Amino acid sequence: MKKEETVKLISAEGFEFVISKEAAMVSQTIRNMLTSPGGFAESQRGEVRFPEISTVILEKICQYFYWSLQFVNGKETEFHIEPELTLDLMMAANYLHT
Amino acid sequence: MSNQKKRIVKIEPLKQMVNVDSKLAWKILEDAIREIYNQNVSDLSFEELYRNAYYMILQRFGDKLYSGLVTTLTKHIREVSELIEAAQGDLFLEVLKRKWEDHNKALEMIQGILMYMDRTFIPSTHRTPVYQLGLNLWRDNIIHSSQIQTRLLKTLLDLVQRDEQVKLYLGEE
Repeated sequence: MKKEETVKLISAEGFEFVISKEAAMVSQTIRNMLTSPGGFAESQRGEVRFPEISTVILEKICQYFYWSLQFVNGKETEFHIEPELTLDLMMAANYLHT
Repeated sequence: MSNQKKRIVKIEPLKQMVNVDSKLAWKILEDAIREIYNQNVSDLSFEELYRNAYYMILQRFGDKLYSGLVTTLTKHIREVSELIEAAQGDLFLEVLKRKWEDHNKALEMIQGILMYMDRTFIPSTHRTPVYQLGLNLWRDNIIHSSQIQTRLLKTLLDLVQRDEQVKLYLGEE
């Protein structure tokens, strides 16, 4: 995958997840960050820092993005969520508009 | 068995939300809106701005955010209005058009960083969404400005007339 087609998401602890832009844009918030006219720092550098999202949650979110793409393409599998993560995940989903 | 059950039930309480200083948060957003209008966006972090607006809404400072936005936009548009009024002759339409395009682009960015407000606070309080608000303020302060309205109308009519005359002239030839 070309570098322009990916985006780096960085968790609160500094872990970096490189995923495809298509997947990241499942989140309306990230979509706005990357497509807003004028070029904010994020779209220039191709990376987004989330100082409020922990690594565990961000990893789950990235898995969800790819799962969601598969789901809309007709692959209807179940997405497993550990109960311990639900609350934080819901908060993050609200923030990311996912 | 009981061990397993214990593990499943364990959901940690939501960690105390960062208590955002609404004054500071608004200051950051206000400065950012100014930078957006100055077209200095590359140093701004969309995430930081979005997060500040998000926390302001979550902590019930929506009113402060909204009224602050109205004040800031109005102030900016009034300044633009003076610039347009001061433009002489043919520059008038040019300045008006350029400022209109700048305003639209800036509005799109402001709408982006305040998206959380558009999604939650605005529908529940029946207010005007950010983009529409920006357009309304432009209409009220610029298009309806006494210095601009008649001049704009006259300039446009003059242009139409000039165009017609040229057509007439060429047609007769």
